[in-house]
Amino acid sequence: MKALKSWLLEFVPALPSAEALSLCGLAVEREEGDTIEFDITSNRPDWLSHYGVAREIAALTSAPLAALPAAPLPAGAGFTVVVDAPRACPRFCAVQLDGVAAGGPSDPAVLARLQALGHRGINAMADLTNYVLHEMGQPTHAYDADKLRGARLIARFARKSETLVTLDGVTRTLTPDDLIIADAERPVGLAGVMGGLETLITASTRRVVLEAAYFDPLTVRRMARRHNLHTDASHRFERGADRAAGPQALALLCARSGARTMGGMTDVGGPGEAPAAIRLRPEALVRVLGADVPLTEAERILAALGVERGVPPSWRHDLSREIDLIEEIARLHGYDKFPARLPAFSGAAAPLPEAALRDRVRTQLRGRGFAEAVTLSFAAEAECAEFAPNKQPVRVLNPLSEEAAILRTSSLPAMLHLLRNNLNHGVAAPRLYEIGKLYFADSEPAVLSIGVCDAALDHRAFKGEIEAVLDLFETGAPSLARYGRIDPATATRWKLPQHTWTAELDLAALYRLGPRRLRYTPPSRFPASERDFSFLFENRRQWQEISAALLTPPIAELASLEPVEIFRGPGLAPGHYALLIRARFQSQTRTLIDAEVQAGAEEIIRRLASLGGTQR
Amino acid sequence: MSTAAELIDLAQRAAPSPLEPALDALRAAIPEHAQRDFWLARKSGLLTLLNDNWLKPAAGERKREIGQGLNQLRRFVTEYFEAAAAPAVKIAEAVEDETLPGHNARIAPLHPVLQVRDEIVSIFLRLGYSVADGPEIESAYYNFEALNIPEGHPAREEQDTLYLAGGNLLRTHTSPVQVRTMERQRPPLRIVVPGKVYRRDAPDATHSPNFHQLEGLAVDRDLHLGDLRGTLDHFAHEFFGPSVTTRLRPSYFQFTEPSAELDVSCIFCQGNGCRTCKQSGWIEVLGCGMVDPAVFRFVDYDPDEYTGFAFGMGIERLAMIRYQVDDLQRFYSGDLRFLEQFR
Repeated sequence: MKALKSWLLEFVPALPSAEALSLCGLAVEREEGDTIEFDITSNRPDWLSHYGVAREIAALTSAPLAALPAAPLPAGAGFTVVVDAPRACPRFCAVQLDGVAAGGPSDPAVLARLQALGHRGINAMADLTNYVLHEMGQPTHAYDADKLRGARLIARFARKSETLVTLDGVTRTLTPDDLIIADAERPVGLAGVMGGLETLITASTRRVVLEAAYFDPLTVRRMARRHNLHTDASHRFERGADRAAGPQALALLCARSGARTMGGMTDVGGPGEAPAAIRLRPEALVRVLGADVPLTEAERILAALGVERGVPPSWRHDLSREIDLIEEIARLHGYDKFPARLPAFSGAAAPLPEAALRDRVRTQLRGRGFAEAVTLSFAAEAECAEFAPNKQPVRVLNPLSEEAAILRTSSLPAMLHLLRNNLNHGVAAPRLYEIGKLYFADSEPAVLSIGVCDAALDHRAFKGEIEAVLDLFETGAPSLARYGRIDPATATRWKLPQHTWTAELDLAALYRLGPRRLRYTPPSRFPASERDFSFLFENRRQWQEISAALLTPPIAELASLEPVEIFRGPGLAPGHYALLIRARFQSQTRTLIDAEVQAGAEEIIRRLASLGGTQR
Repeated sequence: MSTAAELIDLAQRAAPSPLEPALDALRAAIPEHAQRDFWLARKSGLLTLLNDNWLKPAAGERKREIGQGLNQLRRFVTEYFEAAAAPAVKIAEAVEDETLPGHNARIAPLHPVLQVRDEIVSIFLRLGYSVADGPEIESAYYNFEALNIPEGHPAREEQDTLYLAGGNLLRTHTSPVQVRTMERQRPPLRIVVPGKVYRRDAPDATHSPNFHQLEGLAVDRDLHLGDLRGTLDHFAHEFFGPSVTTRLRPSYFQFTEPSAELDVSCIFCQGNGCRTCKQSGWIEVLGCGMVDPAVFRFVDYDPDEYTGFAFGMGIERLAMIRYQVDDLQRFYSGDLRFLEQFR
């Protein structure tokens, strides 16, 4: 909220520094010349005026607060007001003015202040209502009395499909949830939000009806939302106006307009009952704040804020509980006056159960040259459907864009976008990973995505990167990772090179498997013997099958097997490939003699031949 | 230059005048007579001779001058022989150009936002805070209601919410995990909750519909505003350095009362005012406060028995402050030209 220092100084003798104001909660955002801008939290609508800010300054600095300059209006027998919705409109004050040049130009002093606050002048009456709003916070509205049919104002809920053209020229179709101000025949204003165009003050206006009401915050809030119409008035009403302020606002308007009042001020609903007194226990104060505030100081603060014998003032809707008073005392006493202490704690601190595993994965990937990325959880539906076709996505009802219409059901689209962005920026061979989540209606499983664009990479090298992660965990679940070079058509569609490799690992499942338990067998003290076997196999014979055949039943002292070289290509029998296997024989108890190794080697040859292999 | 005899002769003569040329001659002679004992032997070393023949007989003002001169010479000689005593073994063979850089397959970076997250988590782990988490797809009850933000409250709109088909929403803060944890666990309680949160904000240099927060909560029999201050002071000093000062500025959150913002003195201008702190000398770091008794009622804690405090910070914001990152979007770009600077 913007304010003028010169205006504030009409009510208090001096202004505290911006720092002192900020430290009582009146956060100063900017100061420039005579203007000062506050960031006002939604619990303090009473600060949304000069008088309201001045009142706080007076309390903060123990300075006197000047009274608002107006004599009260005579009560009784004024303009007719009917309130049909007392819950939504607890109070409605009105007064009629005569002989007023309402549509004429404003007093230059009034206009100058409004302009300094960023308003342009409209006409004398409209400017005055704005002026009083900024002065003391009560929204008011001026009607051309001669345009009000039936010489009355009615606060009621709208009837279905009634319409109202508001001041901004928009025709609004009303609903029975809209609280309106009507004359005898039609709506003339959206209560607490905006007046109607037809009863507007014009150059020919001679008689004016002024409204100063108190509306229910929630009712106004819903209307402002429904009509997407947020005004200075609705901003204050929806946060809670001061029910007691109406008569004074009207008195200020009358005094400043210089016009005659016709009859007294109508007041339907009145100020209402005072709220209940709040009990403040001194021990509760110490319990929450940690240090005693001298009783006289606490009492001084509450009195300065207008709390009398525990009863909060009419403008403080935010005070209803003991804790509210404790906060007020702490705030004006100064938060920094309560000595800081680092509290003791007995007990154990536990990290997230999977944090250690997650960090091992991060360390592993980081060491293998993959940079950690973070992406957004949203995705375009079509992109996720491409990689996770059978997953039902969770839709965002009010997405920011089509590209963010669902929560992702696959981590791969985001990874492909990152790879492409990097290539577009000239990064030669991007290597990235992300640890994130997928989102479904009933679960948010953790997932790891990996992506590389690298012409030098081959399938086994990329598989090695995946295995480096899987190696951190116990073995178990059958389907933990999808990985590989992306399909050529997909690469083309995504404008990515053919040598793009991606993987998605089910981290949630890996976490469940737990860390790989480390087991130890003592290294043998005796030398090992290696034998190589070069065989030709049909393409359908795969390594898993071959190694299984060599390992079961066990061959004596065979310590390990390794597929050293695989060759496919010209020069071989069609449909065949060449495989070089290295076997290592080693005993835990003695040095093997040649004959033993030879026997093992022969057994290997026999078993490979029985799989259809031919020795080369 | 000089023979050993000449040097001994020089040493045995009464203090030469002027002193400087004599000391210079001695200094220059060290490399030629590079036996440690010749100079430093306790009984017959040259320095002992100098001491006995120059310093001892010297009177008054000269004593001081000669003393200083001999001390300098002693230091010089000692350093010479210490350097000479260094291992003569070469550990590196000579290369043509030692100034060429190494082939450095450098370790890849962790994400700057997650580095900051990890650091904050570890600060609080050391203070006895456990780490908790909760779903990002959240119900209105946990995200708003149980945090004392009823339907129709302005605070619901201030955090522009993304709603989901099926009646849930994307959590707008990590605070729902406070409630979820308190429902499961009785005090005393200390948790931090790092995680992704969501707001319906179009992406720009300071906004993202998806960012990271870290929430903290402590509940016990005897926690007060001073404990909140002490805890956050400790955090600020650990994170920003021991020289920052802090202040608590009153603010408003539905689920804490009293509520405050924590400011730290600007780490770039030491509080003198600069662009980063908008000339105020202070940087806003996080929101905090004493847990509102209304929140305790939702989880069936007795507010007359327990008090607590809570705080919540934007991790990207802290990363932006620490690394002076100008545009929030860089964090989500995956741009290696950016990320690689954080290893």
